[in-house]
Amino acid sequence: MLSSFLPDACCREAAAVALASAPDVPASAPDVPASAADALGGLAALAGAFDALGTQAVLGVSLPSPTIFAQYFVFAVLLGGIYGLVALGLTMIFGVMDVINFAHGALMVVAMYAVLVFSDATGLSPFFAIPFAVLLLFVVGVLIYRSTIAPIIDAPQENQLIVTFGVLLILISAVEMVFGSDPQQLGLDLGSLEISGVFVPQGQLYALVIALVALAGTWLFLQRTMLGRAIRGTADNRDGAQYVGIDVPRIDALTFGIGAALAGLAGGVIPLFQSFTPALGDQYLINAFVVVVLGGLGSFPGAFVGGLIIGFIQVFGSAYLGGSTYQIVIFLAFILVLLVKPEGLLGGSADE
Amino acid sequence: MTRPILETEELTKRFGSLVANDKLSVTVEEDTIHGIMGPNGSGKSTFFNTVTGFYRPDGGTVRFDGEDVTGWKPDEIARRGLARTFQIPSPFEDLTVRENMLAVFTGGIRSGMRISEEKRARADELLELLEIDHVADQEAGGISGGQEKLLELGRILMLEPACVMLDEPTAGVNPSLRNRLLDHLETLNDRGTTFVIIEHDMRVIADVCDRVTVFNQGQVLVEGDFESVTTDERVRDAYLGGAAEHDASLETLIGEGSNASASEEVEAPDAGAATDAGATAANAGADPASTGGAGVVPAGGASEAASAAASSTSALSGIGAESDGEPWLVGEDLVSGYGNHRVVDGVSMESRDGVTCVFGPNGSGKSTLLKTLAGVVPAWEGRVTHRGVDVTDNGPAENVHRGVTMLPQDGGIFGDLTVRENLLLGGYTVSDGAVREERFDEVLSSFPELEGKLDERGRSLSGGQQMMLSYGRAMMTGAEVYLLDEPSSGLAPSLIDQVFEMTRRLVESGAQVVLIEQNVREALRIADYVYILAQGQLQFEGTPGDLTDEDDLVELYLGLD
Repeated sequence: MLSSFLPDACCREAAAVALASAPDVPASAPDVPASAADALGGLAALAGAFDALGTQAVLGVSLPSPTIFAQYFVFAVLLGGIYGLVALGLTMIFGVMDVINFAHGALMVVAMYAVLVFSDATGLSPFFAIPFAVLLLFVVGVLIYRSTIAPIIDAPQENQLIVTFGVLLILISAVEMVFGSDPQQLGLDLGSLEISGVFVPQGQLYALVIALVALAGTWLFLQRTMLGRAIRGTADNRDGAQYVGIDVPRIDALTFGIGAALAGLAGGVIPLFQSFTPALGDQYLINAFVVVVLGGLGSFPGAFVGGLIIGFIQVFGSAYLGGSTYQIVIFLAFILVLLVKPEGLLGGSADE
Repeated sequence: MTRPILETEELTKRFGSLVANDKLSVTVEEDTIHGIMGPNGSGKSTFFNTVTGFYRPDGGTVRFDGEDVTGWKPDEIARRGLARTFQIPSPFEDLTVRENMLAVFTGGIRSGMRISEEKRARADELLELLEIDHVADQEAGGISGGQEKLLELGRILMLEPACVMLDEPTAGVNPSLRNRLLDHLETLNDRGTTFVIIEHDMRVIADVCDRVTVFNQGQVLVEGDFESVTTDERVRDAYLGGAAEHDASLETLIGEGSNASASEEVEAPDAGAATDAGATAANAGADPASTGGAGVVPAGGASEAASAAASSTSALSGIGAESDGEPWLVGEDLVSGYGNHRVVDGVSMESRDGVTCVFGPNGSGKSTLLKTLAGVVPAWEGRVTHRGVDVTDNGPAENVHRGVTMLPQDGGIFGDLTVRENLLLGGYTVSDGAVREERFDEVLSSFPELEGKLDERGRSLSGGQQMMLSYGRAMMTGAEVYLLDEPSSGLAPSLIDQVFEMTRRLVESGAQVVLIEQNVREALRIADYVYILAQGQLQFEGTPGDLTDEDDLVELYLGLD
């Protein structure tokens, strides 16, 4: 169930939101996702619900109507955008420092709970809590780098991987000790937009917009600023960087901080549209790794392209293939890309 | 001269729109030493890579020993008897030198199962022959650059190839080692091994090559024996960019009978250039010192500015360096090295006004000494001071901020970044954007070749252009002390002069320069003070005037005492 938990969680709620706010849904329909979701998986249930509607609408034709296809499309883009955002920080740390940051998911979890605590404590909208989570995670990232990665930055890559895994366990355990492992939610009711029969859950829409802004901002920072160039230069040639006066350990700390801040952003937007537990980060992380490799290590646009591919496979796969077959398709696509284009679809360096 | 062993016909290799090899037809006779010359970017290394299967040719054929090997894999070609070395040696760094030799697959995959006694014996014999047996049990990552070159050659010889292609075997190798290496080549050649050599050093070509092919812009320019090739006007033009600009012909550059008077002859036109900047067309636009704080000064005003350059602050030395006769960077009793390998063993040296040259054989600790001064390699003992301030524990980044910039031997450029970004990052420590822009323009006028390539990636440049880029990038830091680790290694002769010229400009802008150079005779032309290092210890220090007797120089250089 682990593999299917994630999409189910976010799509189930999206489905519930979408259906609940749809005025012309037959009285019997809202019960379908609520009861079937747990047993069958949210998206399949959602698809079933819409299928039922569609079938009724076109009098017995079993193929989905264009509206339903458009609905899947919207869900796929929204989900893909979230995956892209999750992969962004991961791919940045990977591209610049060659460190596989296993703690990325845990950092997201810290951000989710930070948003929860901040909202509860201040009573402000969670949207104000997101910048707070980003800043907090930047600081946490720098601290983690200084205390655990910096002393072993010259050690083999697997040492760093193991250390970040240790950080993951510590962070997740700490969150569980404080908040328990029960699902939490913000109790937001953002509702959905309806555009000619297609529902766009607003929580996920905001998340996607934030993700795109983050991509553009990070890209501009890396391309246009001296500090950004220094980060790319360090990614390219660490020895060469020191000869032009770049303080390489400081750039590493900054990079890890930014990577963690991006994890904070991803973690911060997830409570907008789904409930969360300390285990949620890992489930995102598994697919995020696939996204990073699929799109190309260190490639920013690649992270989004990879995210979209996974989003589409997941949404359409769970609608038409049933069960968790889509997970198999995801990894088939993954293997196919590795065989045909091992450097990833948009593979290359951190500046692409 | 019996039969051709290696023949290419209309061999073509393209990179995008760039035609690196344009229908090259080259024939190498068996049992010869065949030289390949050509300016930087003329397609020499690409030719090697295409012939030996590292690149797939876009057209044409390669025939080796009567067999068509076009499109074969590199390892198949190597085992067929056509072996090669690379410009930059790449040993297995975690293996010892001996293990590197034994790791060569001499007979396909089967030879990997058990190492035969003959193979061990051959490895030992080669290690002894190449005189690297004393480091046989050290990890290859820790040996010096020259030793790496020898190891690279040794590994190739393990294959007992019929033909060996050597990509700049003597670049960065000191004269005595070079001569030894050439002796080995001739011995092996007498035993029946054919050699194809890419070489910039004319003496090497003159000494050992039976035939020479000159490439230019991806095509064969001339082919013939050394004499006929070097007297060919086209070749001179290709190398020197028009004979009129340069008094020194190739023969003078070869410096075959290079006593003191010969090198003075070479020096004469260059000395003139320093005082009469307007007359030397090649340098008029390339004058970083004189363009100074006033922006781009037209050529007519260059000589005036040049005379004032020594005392005024130019944009290239933003620190505000002004010659005061004091050594700015001082190392005292420095000891440093790698792991438990002591490379620099108690050396004291200073950067002085003008060019301070550090000479010494390969493995004598020159690079390590420079890196210790720059803070790249920590000093185990002793101390480094810059303008009286103790900077022993500084990292390289802090030293660049202070105005001490090192140019590493490999250039250290950012291959994935564009040329423009490389240069801009050189100005990373410059907070004033206007100064950075101004230096950027000056560097471009010093290296006009880079101007058309600003948006190309660093790695797409040829070896010589990459060195230009790293030189220009170092100049962007605007240091007052430059530590140059063999900036001229692997460059075409016309460029070596340019590098020396740039070094002199740095001095004129008020900077002190410490220069490591293998070509002692050339470097002595611009040296104001000389240190000679051997086995990690200082053998000599003094002015070039104290070094008039070449026999003494040779003895000092080799640490014979």
